[in-house]
Amino acid sequence: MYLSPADYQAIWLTLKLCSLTTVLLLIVATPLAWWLARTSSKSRIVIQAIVALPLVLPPTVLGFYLLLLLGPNGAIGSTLELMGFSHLAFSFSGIVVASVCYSLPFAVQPLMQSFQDMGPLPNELAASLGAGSLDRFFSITLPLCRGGFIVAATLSFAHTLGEFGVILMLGGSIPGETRVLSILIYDHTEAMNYAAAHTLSIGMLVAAFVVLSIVYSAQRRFAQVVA
Amino acid sequence: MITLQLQLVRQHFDLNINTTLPTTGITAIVGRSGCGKTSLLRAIAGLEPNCQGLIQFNNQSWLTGTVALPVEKRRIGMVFQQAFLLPHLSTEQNLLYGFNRTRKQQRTLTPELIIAMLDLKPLLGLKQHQLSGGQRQRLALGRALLTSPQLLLLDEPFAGLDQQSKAEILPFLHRISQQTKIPMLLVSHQLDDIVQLADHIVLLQQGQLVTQGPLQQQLSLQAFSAFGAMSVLHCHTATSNDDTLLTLQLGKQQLMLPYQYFNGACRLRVQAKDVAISLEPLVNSSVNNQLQATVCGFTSASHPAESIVQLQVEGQPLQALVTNRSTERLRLKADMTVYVQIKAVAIY
Repeated sequence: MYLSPADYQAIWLTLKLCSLTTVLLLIVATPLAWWLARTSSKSRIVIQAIVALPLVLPPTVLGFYLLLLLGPNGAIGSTLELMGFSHLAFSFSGIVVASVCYSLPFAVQPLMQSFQDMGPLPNELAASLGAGSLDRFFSITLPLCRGGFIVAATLSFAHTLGEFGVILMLGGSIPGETRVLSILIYDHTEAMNYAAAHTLSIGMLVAAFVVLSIVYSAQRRFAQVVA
Repeated sequence: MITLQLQLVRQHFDLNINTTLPTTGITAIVGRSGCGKTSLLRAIAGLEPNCQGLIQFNNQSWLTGTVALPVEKRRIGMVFQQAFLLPHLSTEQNLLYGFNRTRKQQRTLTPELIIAMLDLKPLLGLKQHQLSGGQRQRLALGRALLTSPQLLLLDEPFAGLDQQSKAEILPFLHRISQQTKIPMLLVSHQLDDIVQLADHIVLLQQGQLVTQGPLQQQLSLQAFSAFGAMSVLHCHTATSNDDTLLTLQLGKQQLMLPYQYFNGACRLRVQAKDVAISLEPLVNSSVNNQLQATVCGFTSASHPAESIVQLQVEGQPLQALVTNRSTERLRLKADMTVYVQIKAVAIY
């Protein structure tokens, strides 16, 4: 099996995108999932629907609106340019933002589920024993919802790995910047370079299988801890 | 003193409490299921974010309007229903969770003391699933105490415990109150359980306070007869003349009881249905305990054919459940001197 420098570059870029997205998603999704699991506010339904949108929307739709929003004429893109930064269309930062939006439900859902399963009691008890909110997060929520965090992280990573439409719409195929593995496979196929496409595809297939195995074993182990 | 002026809107009722509670001894909050007892306890703990009003503990302000002191800053100890243990921690880690989060200068109770007081040593090596309900309760109690709290809150500490586990935990609660002097608020729907412990009692109904005051006086109120009328007598000294009988001094009079276990406490619970009244002292009777009493008045009982006679024995209130027919036959009137025969007594 022979990998070209362009292939290595795409693999490295993909791993960088997936890792960064996963870290950002855990930071964003944890408070969001916590709020969704605890609130009785009516706005919960709206927020939950917005979070779940990427599950049902064609990635091209999401990519199209992100392109409008983050591009030079979009609300966010033009604001960034006014502040002296560049807009986010066709850039690595742009596809990171896109990936966070695209994979958000895959991080929020398992976290919300595990927060709901844990219930309010462990945290109430810990508070009554003098633990502050940060202390409670690390000594109670994190260990008790460990399974939820593992599932959220792996699913976010895996889902970003399989992202194609959104990146194509917003990022195009710029080597070293936005040409991730899924785009490169597409490019190889377009260029009739089936051998190269095959090599990368097999790699993706194995990686996806491994990641899903991790998710299911984490879910099983977590279920045993709770039982 | 705990000053409460609080409102809390719940699904089935509104909790609306304006009162002051003592910060000495054990205060019991009783009422039927769903009357707001647990909500009141949780509001005092700071676990009800929608609670509004005023909570003042001695000179500390815990709630003013909607500004609340966070739970972890109130320095309370709370024992939740079913004695919840943190599942990811060992029994020992559970016990010390709060202690490790209590400032050194605020620690008045040490693990050694609490382990001895609650007899926890045998439990520390055990896994959580090996602990019985009563043992979990003791561990949860020890964990709450090790934060050296200013106030201990107990939510239905006897719920889900069998008689034996209950009997196991009661003396510990009594001992804690006596030895640590930490004020306790205890929620229960069983009057039976709390008369053994409480000094002060609060009755709630549909989120409203019905009455509150010292236990002995409150028990004579009509409001409590729905729980089964009973009285509590405090005896002064107790001596055992032999291995089988215990003599208790009640003012100038004496009571004799079969010796069960004796922990120095002299609190007697007498059910109104176990008290009989006669105009003359009975001589040829199997009932050992006969006391001179004065009739104070009458209140209605749950059955229309019966009434509760309110009596005074050595200055302490005592209730007797008799049929209206007997009241008429004996021509019982207020200020009359009578003799009461007490058939059964529970000692705590």
